[in-house]
Amino acid sequence: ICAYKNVKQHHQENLFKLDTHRFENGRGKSPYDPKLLTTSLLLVDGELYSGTAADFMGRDFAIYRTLGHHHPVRTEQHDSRWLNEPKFIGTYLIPESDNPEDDKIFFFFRENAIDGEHSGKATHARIGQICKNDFGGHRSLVNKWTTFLKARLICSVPSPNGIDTHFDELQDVYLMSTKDPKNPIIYAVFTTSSNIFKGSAVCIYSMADVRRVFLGPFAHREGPNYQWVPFQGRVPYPRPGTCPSKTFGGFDSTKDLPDDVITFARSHPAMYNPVFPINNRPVIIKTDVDYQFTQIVVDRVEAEDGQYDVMFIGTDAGTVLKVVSIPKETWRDLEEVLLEEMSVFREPTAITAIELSTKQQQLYIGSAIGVSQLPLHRCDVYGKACAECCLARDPYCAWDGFSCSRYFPTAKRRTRRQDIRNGDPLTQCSDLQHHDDLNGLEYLEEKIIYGVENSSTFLECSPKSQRALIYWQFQKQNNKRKDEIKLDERFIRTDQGLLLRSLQKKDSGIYYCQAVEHGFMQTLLKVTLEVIDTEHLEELLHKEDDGEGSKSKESPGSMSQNQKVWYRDFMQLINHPNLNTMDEFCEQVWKRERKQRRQRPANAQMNANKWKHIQENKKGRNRRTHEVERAPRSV
Amino acid sequence: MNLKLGLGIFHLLAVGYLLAEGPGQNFLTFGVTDTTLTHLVVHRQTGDVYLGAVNRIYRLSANLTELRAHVTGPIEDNPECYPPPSVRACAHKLAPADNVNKLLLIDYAQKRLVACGSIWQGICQLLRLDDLFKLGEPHHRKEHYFSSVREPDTMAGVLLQENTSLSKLFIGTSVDGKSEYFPTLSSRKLIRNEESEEMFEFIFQDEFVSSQIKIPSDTLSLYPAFDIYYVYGFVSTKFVYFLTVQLDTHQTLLESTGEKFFTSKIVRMCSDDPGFYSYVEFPIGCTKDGVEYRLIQSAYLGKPGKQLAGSLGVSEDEDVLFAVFSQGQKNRANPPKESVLCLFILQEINTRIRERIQSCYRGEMTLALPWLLNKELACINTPMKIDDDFCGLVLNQPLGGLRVIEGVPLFEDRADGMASVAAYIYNEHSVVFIGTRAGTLKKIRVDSVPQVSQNALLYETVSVMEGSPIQRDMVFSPDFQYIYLLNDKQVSRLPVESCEQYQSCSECLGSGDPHCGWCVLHNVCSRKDECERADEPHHFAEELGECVILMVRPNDLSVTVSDVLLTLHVKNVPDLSPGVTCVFENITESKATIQRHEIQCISPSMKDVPVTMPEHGDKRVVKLYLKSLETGRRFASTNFVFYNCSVLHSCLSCVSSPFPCHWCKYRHICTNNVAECSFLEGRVNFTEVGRELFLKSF
Repeated sequence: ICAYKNVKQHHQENLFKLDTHRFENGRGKSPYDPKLLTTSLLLVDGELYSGTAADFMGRDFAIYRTLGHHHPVRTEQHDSRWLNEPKFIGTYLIPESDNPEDDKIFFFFRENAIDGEHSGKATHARIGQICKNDFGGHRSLVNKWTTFLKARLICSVPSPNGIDTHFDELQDVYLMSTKDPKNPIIYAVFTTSSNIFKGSAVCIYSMADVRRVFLGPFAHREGPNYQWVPFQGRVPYPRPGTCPSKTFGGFDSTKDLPDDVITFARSHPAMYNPVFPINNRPVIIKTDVDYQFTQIVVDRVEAEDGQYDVMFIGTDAGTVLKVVSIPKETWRDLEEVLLEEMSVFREPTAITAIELSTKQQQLYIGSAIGVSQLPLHRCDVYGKACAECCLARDPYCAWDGFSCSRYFPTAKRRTRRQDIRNGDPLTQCSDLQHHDDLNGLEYLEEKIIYGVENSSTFLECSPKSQRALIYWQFQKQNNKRKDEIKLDERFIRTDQGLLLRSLQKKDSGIYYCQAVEHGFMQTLLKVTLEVIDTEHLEELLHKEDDGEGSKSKESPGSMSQNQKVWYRDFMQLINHPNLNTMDEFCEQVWKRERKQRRQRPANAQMNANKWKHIQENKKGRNRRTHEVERAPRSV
Repeated sequence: MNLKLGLGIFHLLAVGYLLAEGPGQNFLTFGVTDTTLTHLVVHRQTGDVYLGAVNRIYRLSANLTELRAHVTGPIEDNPECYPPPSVRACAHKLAPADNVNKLLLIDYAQKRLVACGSIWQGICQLLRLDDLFKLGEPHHRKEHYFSSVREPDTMAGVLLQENTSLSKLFIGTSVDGKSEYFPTLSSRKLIRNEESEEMFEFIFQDEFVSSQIKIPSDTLSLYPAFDIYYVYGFVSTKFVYFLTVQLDTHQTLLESTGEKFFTSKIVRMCSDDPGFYSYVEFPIGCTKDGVEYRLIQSAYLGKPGKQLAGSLGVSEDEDVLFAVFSQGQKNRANPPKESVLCLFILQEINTRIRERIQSCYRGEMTLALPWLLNKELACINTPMKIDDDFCGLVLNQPLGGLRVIEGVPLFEDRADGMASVAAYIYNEHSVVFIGTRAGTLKKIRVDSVPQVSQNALLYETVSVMEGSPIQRDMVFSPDFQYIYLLNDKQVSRLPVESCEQYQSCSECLGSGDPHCGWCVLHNVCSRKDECERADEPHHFAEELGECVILMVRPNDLSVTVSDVLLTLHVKNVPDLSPGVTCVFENITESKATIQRHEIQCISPSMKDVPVTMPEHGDKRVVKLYLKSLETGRRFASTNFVFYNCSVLHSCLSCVSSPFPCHWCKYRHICTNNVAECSFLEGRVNFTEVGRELFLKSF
C-alpha cells in the first residue's frame, strides 16, 4: 500500500492500519505529489512496475521496476526522447507468445509531443513496451531498460479534407480480455486537448496493430534541424524491443546485447508509425456536451444474438454512461447505443475510478467525494412491456414473459424476447400483444393542467429511451382529430417537454406526447389543458383560500422541492405580466404540499449518506442536463 | 593494462633541455621541443614540479632539473570507440592518438599523482610521486571514462580527503556533446588501492539520485554546441566551487549556426552532498567603465592582505577570489585582449546564493536553470530557516541565479591579454601576478580597491617568453620565493621579486614593489628578510622618506687645500657605532669620527687631492660615501666638489665662477687663495668686476 502521511492531522478511525514496522521507500513507486498521474502493476512474482515521477520537483519521470529479486531497472534519466513529462494511465502485462520469456509490460500514458514532431506544444497518447526479462545493459544503459519502445496511439475522426480531429488526451485504458490472453482488446478513453472544444471519444485497438507498429520503422532524426523520418538504415540485431528468449533466439539476457543495439535503443525509443484504432475511427464520440469522459470499463455480455461489449464510461460530471456498440450491417459499421446515463454521486464530481465485478454484477465507482456501487443492469427500469424492454436493446435484459429481467444465455426459455441488433419490438413482441398493450396505454399518464390566459405553462414529457424522438399532438375537446403541433414562438419544444407561451382560450384541449423509436410509436403523456380567463383568476384564488383544493389530479407527492426552481426559471424567461399573481397562486399550492410532505418520511434525507447505494427507484434515470433537475416521473 | 609504447624509443630520446638562465634573465626554465606542456603542479612540501604534457608527464626538481619523464602516449585509439579498444575490439579504425593531459592533481594522502588524459574516452592514471611509476590506470568501467575532449584546459578537479583510505574527487569537464557517456560534473571515490573496483565510482548512485550532473540530451538537441568548460575549482569552508564558461542559452539563437555567446558561471555545492541537492549556479562577471567582461580566463582563491582587507572592510581571514575576465561574451576560443582583473569576496557570493535559496523557498520565481531543467519549474513555498550552511533538500534544486554576481574591477589591460592569475600576501600587501598572452608576467599590488576608471598599481612587467602565451596554471613555490609559469614549450621559475634590479634607495622604494626595501648598511634593494638586522631602526628603509640623506659642510674644496675637517650630517641611518669611513670615490678613505648626529672626516691630504684635468674644467665632482665598517658597504653618498680656480684664465670667468675664486689683477691669475695675490697687486672679486668692465670700455 502506498500512502501519503499527513503530518498535520490525525485521522481517528482507520479500518486499515498502516503496519508501521514495515515501511518501504516509495521513491519511484509512488509520486511525491498525490495529484500526479501514476500507474503501477504488482505481479505475482513480487515485481512492482510503476510509471511515476521519482523526484520531488516532478521532473524525473521513470518507468521503474523494483521489489523483485533483481536490481531495479528504470528508463533513462532526463531524456525527453524516452519520456517527455508523461502522465501515466495504466500498465498491463500482455504475453507475446506462449513462452513467458516473451512477456511484455505495456504502459499507457500521454506526454508532450517530442520536439520537432509537432509544431508548438501538443500532447500525444502513447503505448510503451518493455520486456519483463529486461535487466538493463552491461556497460551502457546499466540498470536501464534496453527494450523500451513507444508508439503513438491515434484516436481521431477522419474528415474528407484530410484534416482529422484528434483526441489526444488519453484518460483511461481498459483491457478487455478475450479467449486469447495474447490479444486483449484495448479500450481507451480520450478527450480533446482544446479548451474551447470539449469532446470525448472511445477508441478500440487490437494488439495485432500494436505489435505491427513495434515491428515497424523506428522514428529517426539526424539532428535538431531535421524532420522525424522512418529509420532507413540497418537496424542492429537483435532488433531493439525484442525480448531475450528462445522464441526469437540469439541471446539470453539484455546484458549480452551488443553495444550497437544498446546505442540504437537509447537513441530510438519511439516508433515512426502510430497505432490506429479499429475501423480507423472512434467507436464513441461525444462533443458539444459540457462534460468529458474520464474512466471506462467494459463488460462482454452474452446476448441472444451474440456477444456485446457494454462500456461503462465515467465522466467528470459524476455520471456513468452505459453504452453498447452494435454492428449495423457489418462489424465495420458500428452503431453506438446509449443505454443509460446515471448520476452516481450526490453532486457533480469527476469519476476517478471504476471497477467492474462480474461476479457481483456490480460497478464500483470512485470519486473525490466517495465510492458508489451500481448494478451492471437494471432491467426493470425499461418498463413493464415487452416492447419497451426490447427497444432498450440492453444486452443484459430480455423480456421473460412477465417482466424485463436479466438475460441468462444458459437457461433458455421460449418466452424470452431480446433483439439487441435491431431492437425491433414488432417481430419480438407482436405475438405477445394480448398480454400487453403495444400502445402502452396501460401506463399512460393522464393529467389535467390549468393555465391562466396570457401566462405560460409547461407540459413535461421526456422519453425513457435516449434514442426516442418526441412528437406532440393536439386534440381539441370533443374532437377526434389529432393534429401535430406546429412549433412556433408560442409552442417551444425542449428536451424536457413542451413550453406553451401566452396561453389563449383556444389552446384548451388534449395534448399527446408521442415517442417514436424504430418506427414504434408510444404515447407517453396525455394532458388536458384548461385555460382560465384572467378575470376568473381572482375568483379562483379565493376559492383556494377556502381550502377547496385544486382540481389537478396530479399527485402533489410526486412533486419535489426542486420543481419551484425550474418553474421560476421558465416564468422569468417568459416574463409573464401577472407573475406576482401567479406566484401568489403557486405559493398557496406549495404551502399545502409542504404540509402534506411533512407528514411523510423524507426519502431525500437518506441521500445525504456519503456511502449510499444508488436510490434507483427514487432517482430514476437521469438526463444529460444536470443542473436542471426535474421531478422524477413515475416509472 | 599498461600503455603500449608503439613508437617508444624515439619518444624516450626526446627530452627537455634545461636553461640555467634565460637569455638576459635571471630565471630558470625547462623547455621541451617535441611535446606541448599543458599543466603544472608544485608539491606543497617538496617543492617538486610536475608537468602534464601531450604524451608525457614530467617530474622536475624545484630548480627545474628533469628528474623523471613518464610516457603516456601516443596510443592506438579512436574517439568513436566506446568502450575503448583496450576493453573491446572496436569497429572504427584505430590510429596512434596523442594523449593530452587535461588534469594533474597531487593526492598528498596517498603520495601519488592523478593525471587524466584524452585517450580511451578520458581515462586517468595514478602515478607514484617520486618516480612516476604507474600505480594504476582504471579503464574498464564506465565510471573510468571522464571525457574524450582533447582541449587541455576544459577540466578542473578538486580533491578532498575524507579519511586515510578514501578521498573525494570533484571533477568538472567539458563533454563535447557526449552527455550519455560523461557527466559534466561529478564527485568520485579516490580509493587508496589503485586496483580497487570502486576507484572513481560516484560517491553515491541509485536509480534516482547520483553524485553527478549530466547535460540533458534535450539541451544538446536544442543547442548542439552546448558545453561547460571548467576553468577553476576550489574549496572554501564546507563548499566546493567551480568557475565555468558555458554557452549562454539566453543570448545564443536556437539551432543557429551563427554567433555563439558565452557566459561565466560560479557553481557551488556542499562538499558532502552526495545527491547534489545543493547545486547552485550563478552567472559571474565584471563591469569596468560600463563595459562588460564575461569570459572568465583564470581565477585564484586567496586571502586579502591587511591593507586590502582594511579597505574592503573584511577580516584578513576572509576568502577572496581574484579572477581575470575577457571582454564581452563572444570568442571563447580566442578571447579578446581587453581583459580585467576583478576581486570577489567569497562571503558576498555566499550571501547572494543564500538570498536566492531563501527567495526560492518563499516560493518566488522559478528554479531558473534552463540548460539543466529544460523547463521552468516554479519554486515551492516551503517555510524553513535557511542559513549559510544550507545544503539543499529534494525540492527547490538545482537552482540558478538570475542576476550576475559582479566583481570589483582592480586592473584593466587592453594590450597583452591577461590569461592567468595567482596572488599571495607579502607583508600586509596583496600581490597579484598575471600571466598574459603576450608572454609577460605582470605584478600588481592591490592594497585597496582602486577608484573607478583607475587601476591597481602595476609595478613590474617581466617578459618571460615573448609572444608565447602564458597558460592558466601558475603556481608559487612552497616558500613563495618563486612563481612557476607555463608556456606551451617551457616552464619558467621566476623569483616573485627582483628588488636587486633597483640601484638606489629612491628607485627601490619608488618601484612600488612591496617586497622591496632599502637595506641601508648594505646599500641594496632587497626583501626585508634578506637584509641583516632589518628589524633594527633605520637598517631597512621601506618608504621613500626613510632613504638615507647625507649632507656635508663644506661641500666643496679647492684642489689646493687638504686635510680640511668636513662635517657630515646624516638622516635615517642606523646605529653607526661599529664605525664608518668616509670614502671619496676611489680616491681616499678616511676614518670618520661619530659625534652624536654628526660625522667628521678629514678631506684628502694634498697628495690625494684629485688632480683636475683640463677636461674637468674648473671643478671635479666626486662622490663622498659613507662606508659601514660593519658591512664594508658604502651606504650613503653625496656629491663633493673639488674646484680649481687656477684653470680659469680670464678675470670674468674667474670671478663669475660659483667658487670663491679671486683674480690677481696684475699677475692675471685666478686663485682661491686671496693671500696669493700680492698685497700691492690687489684683487678683484665679483663686486669689482662691474666697475672694471665699465672702465675698460673707455
